[in-house]
Amino acid sequence: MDCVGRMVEILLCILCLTLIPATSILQNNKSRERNYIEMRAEELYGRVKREKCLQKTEYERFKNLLAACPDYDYEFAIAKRYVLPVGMEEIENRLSVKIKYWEELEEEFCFAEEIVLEDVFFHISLYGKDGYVYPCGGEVW
Amino acid sequence: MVGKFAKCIDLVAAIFLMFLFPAVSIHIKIRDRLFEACVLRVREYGEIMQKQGYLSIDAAEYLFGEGEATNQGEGKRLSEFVEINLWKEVSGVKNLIDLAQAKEKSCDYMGGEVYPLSRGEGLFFQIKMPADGFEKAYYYFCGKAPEREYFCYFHVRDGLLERLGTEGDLPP
Repeated sequence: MDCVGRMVEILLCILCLTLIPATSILQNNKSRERNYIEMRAEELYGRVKREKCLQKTEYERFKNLLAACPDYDYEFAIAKRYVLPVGMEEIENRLSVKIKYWEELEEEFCFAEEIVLEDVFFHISLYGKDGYVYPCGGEVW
Repeated sequence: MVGKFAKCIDLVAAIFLMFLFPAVSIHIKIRDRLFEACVLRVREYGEIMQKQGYLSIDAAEYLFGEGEATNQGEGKRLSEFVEINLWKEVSGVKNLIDLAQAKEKSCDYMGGEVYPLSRGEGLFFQIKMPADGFEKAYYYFCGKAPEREYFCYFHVRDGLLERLGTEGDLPP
């Protein structure tokens, strides 16, 4: 009986001395990783807003950063409002807003080193596998 | 003799499990909350600076000043436990702004001393809270106590320098 009690005691001590602190270290690392990605997204939006263009190098850097963090995904969107619908798809959806997602941006970057952004809404959404969402961005004009 | 020693170990383990460990956990939780509160406060100040286009010297003293009081009404410091650094980013180059520098380059604006900012400049905050003795003990067997650190970035939307420039009243 004494032996079982002592084993439980040892297990509890190990739990308190290593496992619980280690769990909080992992949580801390996770929140720092998130904070870093959020800060980089804000920084990118700040640059885009200041320079009124999206540089290919900046875009690639951000993409590589997210590629190094497999728990996160992202979506770029550049929305421009028009007076009238601009394409067939927009006419069908009765939208006067043209939204470019990252696929279109990649195509544009094949031919240009930067995309000029004026009178648009620039948006970056970050998604985590655990349901985490961080929206960032706003108007560029 | 062995029985007494075992009982002594049992007693120490019981005190540790029932009293010391919960007490240290509570202490760490309290510091976590204090850090979160400081982060929220710094974000609030960052957003104000982003909109107003300047850093008031009162705010700079509150964020980067020295002192022990944790209440703005009583002292000049947000918290003595956290360390706040601010970098101003201009064309991709980051320059650290400290209280002395802010005071040196300040100008008078609407009856108060302010450090003016320009539109599009980036404000990069770093908030740090080093681990204290209890935390070092708590994380002792894990090898390293994690330091609390938070970064936030704001870009100035409406710079005071531009506003003063258009009003024809540039600071000296």
